[in-house]
Amino acid sequence: MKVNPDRKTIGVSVESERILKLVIEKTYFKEQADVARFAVSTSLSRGLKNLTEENLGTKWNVGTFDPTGEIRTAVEAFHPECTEPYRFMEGLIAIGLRFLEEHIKIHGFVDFELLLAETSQQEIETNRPVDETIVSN
Amino acid sequence: MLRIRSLTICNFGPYLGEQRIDFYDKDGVFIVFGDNMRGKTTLLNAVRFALFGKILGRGEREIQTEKLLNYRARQNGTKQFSVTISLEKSGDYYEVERTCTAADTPEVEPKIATLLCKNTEPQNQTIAENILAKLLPEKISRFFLFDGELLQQYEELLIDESAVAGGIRDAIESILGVPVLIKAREDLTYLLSEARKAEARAAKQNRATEALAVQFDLINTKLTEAVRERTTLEVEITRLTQQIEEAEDALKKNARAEQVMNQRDSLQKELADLEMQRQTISNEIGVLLARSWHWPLVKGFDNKKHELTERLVELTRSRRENEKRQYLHEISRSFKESGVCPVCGATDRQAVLENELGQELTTVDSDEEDNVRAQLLSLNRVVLDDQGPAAIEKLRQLHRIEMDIQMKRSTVNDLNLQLLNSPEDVIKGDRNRLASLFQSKIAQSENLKKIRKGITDIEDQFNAVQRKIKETGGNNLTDESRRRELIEELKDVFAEAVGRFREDLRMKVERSASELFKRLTTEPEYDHLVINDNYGLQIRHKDGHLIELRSSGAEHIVALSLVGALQANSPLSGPLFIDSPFGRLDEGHVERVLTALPEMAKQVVLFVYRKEMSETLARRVLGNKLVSEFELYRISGIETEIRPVEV
Repeated sequence: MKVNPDRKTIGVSVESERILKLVIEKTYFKEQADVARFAVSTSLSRGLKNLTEENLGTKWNVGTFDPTGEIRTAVEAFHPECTEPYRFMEGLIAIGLRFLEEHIKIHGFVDFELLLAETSQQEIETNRPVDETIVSN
Repeated sequence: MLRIRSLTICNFGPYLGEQRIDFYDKDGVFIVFGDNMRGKTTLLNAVRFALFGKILGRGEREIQTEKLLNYRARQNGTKQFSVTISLEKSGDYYEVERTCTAADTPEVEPKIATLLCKNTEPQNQTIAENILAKLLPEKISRFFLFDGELLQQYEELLIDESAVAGGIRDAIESILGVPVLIKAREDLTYLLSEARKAEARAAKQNRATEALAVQFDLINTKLTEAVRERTTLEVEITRLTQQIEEAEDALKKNARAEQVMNQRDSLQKELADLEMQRQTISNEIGVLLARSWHWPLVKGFDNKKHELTERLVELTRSRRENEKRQYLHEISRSFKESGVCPVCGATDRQAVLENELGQELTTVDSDEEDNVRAQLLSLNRVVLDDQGPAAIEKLRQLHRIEMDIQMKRSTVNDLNLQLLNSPEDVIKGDRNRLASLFQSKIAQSENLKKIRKGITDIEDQFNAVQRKIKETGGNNLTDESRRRELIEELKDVFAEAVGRFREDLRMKVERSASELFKRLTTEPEYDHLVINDNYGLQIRHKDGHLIELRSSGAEHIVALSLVGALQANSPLSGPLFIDSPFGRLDEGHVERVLTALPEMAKQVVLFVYRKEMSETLARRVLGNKLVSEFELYRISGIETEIRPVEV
């Protein structure tokens, strides 16, 4: 795949920053970057549409955030059409975080057991990781 | 034998003004009836105050004396109360009057004055205290003035290591007269030391033994020093034992609060462990969560790889089909041009070849195949770990621990609330003090062992020098040596006597207690009592086994048997003052104890409430051994009057 010049850093909005802190508070995640990575894979596995946000504050270098390039590979695998995976990843972080916030509102904490069970169930039912649920912003 | 003649109290406790009980020098049982809170225990304390200048509360806790000043008397401006007890022993009459004068401010100690008259002659303070100590030593007071609570303590005698047991055992040996022998043995130790010095002096005067005498002197000095050290340590160990007993008593008083504290402390330890476990597991979860982004993708990646592999297979197959067809087209084109098959040289099979070609050539996208292959390679390079289930299990574990922590914290809070009004610091202080006293006692006992060993070694040296002096000395040493040898032999006799006397006493006490017990108990299957080294008594069943668990009633009967046995075997005898002794006993036992009481002591003064023993029962059982009855009559909630009961 041909990749256009992509972002060197990953940024989040103020709103996403708030959710990052909330998730840290409600879970045993040690680093906000771990939460953000989890948000990316949650979005990918559920087929969440990425959310474009404005006024992003730089948060991590891509080298820190994805030192092995594995997350980029995952993004590319699920979204072969995407030409700027790290820019795309920012949108996945944003939507993934909102999904997690909703989940916390409902369950009071991050129920990994439920989240993983839901992901598996979707894949069994559809044999593809697509969740068209639109998480309201 | 010591007899009580009268007890007079003035403004003491609930007793306003002067009130008196006469015992008229008579033998038998005196009963003072009184409901709860009328002042029965106060009367027991009045006797204790007169004899020992002390007032005890529950758990043998000493009460500030001035608190016993009658409330109304205090309101009327009186600051003084007094107790006078009249006694008779061996034809001498004693009157002890103790007065307590409260100070103007509570911070200042009250003034306690004692006046003792022997045959109406006032005695000076020192003589008075000496007389009192001989009439009834405080150490053995527990066998003359007691209540149910004190009787309960005899159970401790079955526990070897108990400090309380140690204290009671000493008291028992005191009432039985063992200290007389021990004192004699100590006196002989002193005499021996003096005899040795005399022997050394004699040896110095003899030229042949002069040098040996110097050596003898040195060893004697060492020995005297070591013996002094041993005595100091023995005194220290006795002091520590008493302090341990006091600390144990103090802890007992707050037993319930201590139990709560122990429960709380143990929960807090468990909580600390759980917190550590929580920390460890949450760290482990943190590590697992750092790779949590893998988990949701595991299935998706597998599916993707599957899709891409299938696509790659399809694309490869299409490309190969196309290549095959392209080859056949090449052959066909050559066949057409030359009329001969370029593969097999046939000339008549053009039509068959055309038929084989069938489809037209298609365009194959080789870029897509490359892309798919590249994607597959990328995906294969990502190794996703599937630690989600492990993390979930850890989270469940953590959840359980957190629930446990929450429950335990809540219990700790409840227990803390219960402890809100308890002197926790005092209990902790007592507990620490007890632990430190135990440690000191162990350390001092070790020191004592070393010193005793040292003394044996010095004595060996001593004996060796003594032998040499005797061998080389002349006749002028013979007298001193013989004196010394005699004292040594006497000392050995007394050392042996202490052990034998103790053993004899234990056997006597066991026999007397068993006889009394058989009369007191209503259980025919109980055969006799068995005594241990501490004078603790166990019940032996007819079939030979020891009764391990005793009811509180049985405990009471055993304790009374012991007290009776001690009275019977003691060189000291005197009146018994017993407060509410029947509370735990059924009617059968009450009757049996009542029957036996007049034989336990010449004078017995009972402080009872009617529910534990009715006057009808007392009169029927005691008959003419019941000398007189008194009633503690309620004047008001804070005032009581002692009235004789006319029968």
